[in-house]
Amino acid sequence: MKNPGILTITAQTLRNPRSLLDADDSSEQFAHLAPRLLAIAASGAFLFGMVVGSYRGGIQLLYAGVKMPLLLLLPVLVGLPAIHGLLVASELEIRWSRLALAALIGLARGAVLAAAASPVLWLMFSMPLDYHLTVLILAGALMALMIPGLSVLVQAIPGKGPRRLLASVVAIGVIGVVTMQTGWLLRPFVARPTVEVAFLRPVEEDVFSSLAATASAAAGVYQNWEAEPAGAVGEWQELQRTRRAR
Amino acid sequence: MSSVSALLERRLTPPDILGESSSSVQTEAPDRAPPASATPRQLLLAAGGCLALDGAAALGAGDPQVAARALPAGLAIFLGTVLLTAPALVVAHQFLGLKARPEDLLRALSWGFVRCGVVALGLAPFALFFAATSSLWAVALCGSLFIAGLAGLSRADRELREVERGIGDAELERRRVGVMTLVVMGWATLSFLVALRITWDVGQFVVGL
Repeated sequence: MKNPGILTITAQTLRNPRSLLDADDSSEQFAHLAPRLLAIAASGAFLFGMVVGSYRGGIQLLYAGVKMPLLLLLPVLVGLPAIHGLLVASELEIRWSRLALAALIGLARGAVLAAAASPVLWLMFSMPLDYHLTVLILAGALMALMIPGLSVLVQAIPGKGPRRLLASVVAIGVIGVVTMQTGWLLRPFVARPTVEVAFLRPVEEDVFSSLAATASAAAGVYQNWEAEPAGAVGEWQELQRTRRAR
Repeated sequence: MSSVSALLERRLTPPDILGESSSSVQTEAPDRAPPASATPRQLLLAAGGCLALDGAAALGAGDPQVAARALPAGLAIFLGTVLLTAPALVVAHQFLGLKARPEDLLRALSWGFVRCGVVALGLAPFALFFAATSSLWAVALCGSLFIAGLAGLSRADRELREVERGIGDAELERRRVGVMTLVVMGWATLSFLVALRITWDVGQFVVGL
């Protein structure tokens, strides 16, 4: 179908994403699909984010709603050049437009599924759940909902055999690692009921050291872990804070 | 004295592992069109890719001096490895009496460097992201350089084995390609170890030890 409408595209991302990917690789078709897929992904993720924000309520509804599309988009922006470079290195030639289209279809698919799963999450958050358990449920739900989206990206990878398998694992790994760090960067999504709500926390440490500290705390070993400013942005923020304090 | 020179002559005579008389072993241009070399533009782009990766990761270093020293790190590792191992590859190739011309080997290596740079360029946003938002700039840089290096090595490996095909006696080609595969495997192992050694030195230089 030439230039399908937004509802048709939504249905196709769910029913047969491959048909969108293989339909037509002209630049006009890409120009038609890309903004619509972005809109679908952003609105689905916004809805899901609002439900996540409902754990705390108030302004956090809006904050989490705005940040959730970024959580999905940023890893694609950061990871896609790396994935393209690695595919080229594996002798799996793929056009940029096809890879970008696959990523957008995957994003839209994951976001629509997340929006559809929102009522279930909302019901769970309506119960008196522990904060840490809520964070774990959110992380698990996000992982589960993103798998169908990532499968579109994997389907777009050409070739076959072990080389394709390796490229697929690497692509998923790159997106996974960047998504984890993006989630840490854009926190809080599930704001603690007792802490003042903030749109973003300062840039501190990284997701891996935080996970290690959480894992040892869960095992009963409490380390004196404190998040220090990290990275170029974190250090710049710290400098600004010091200047303001003076 | 004459026995010493005879011994030396015997030592320097290429082994006749291909079943051809050593006197007939000469380098030859391939029957097909010779492999094209990477253009200066492609080589510059590859060097730019390495610098972009280094620069992106170095942003997270915090200390400007460390960042300045980290800027040429990747390029130094890749170029250093090529400079130190390419002569060994050419010498081993010639010593074993293989047919391809030395300049074709260098062309094959140039494609490995180009691949290295392209992958490094692709990984630059990934390294920049971690440099800007975490203290993992060094891990991101080392991991990205490792991946780019492996990509370059695999391309060079493929190109090097290809240069030995379609030259001279077709019946002996299979054996020659087999020998070339062993040479390339040895060169790849040497390159990996040399790259590790240079990385150690470059790492010490970057952190200021």
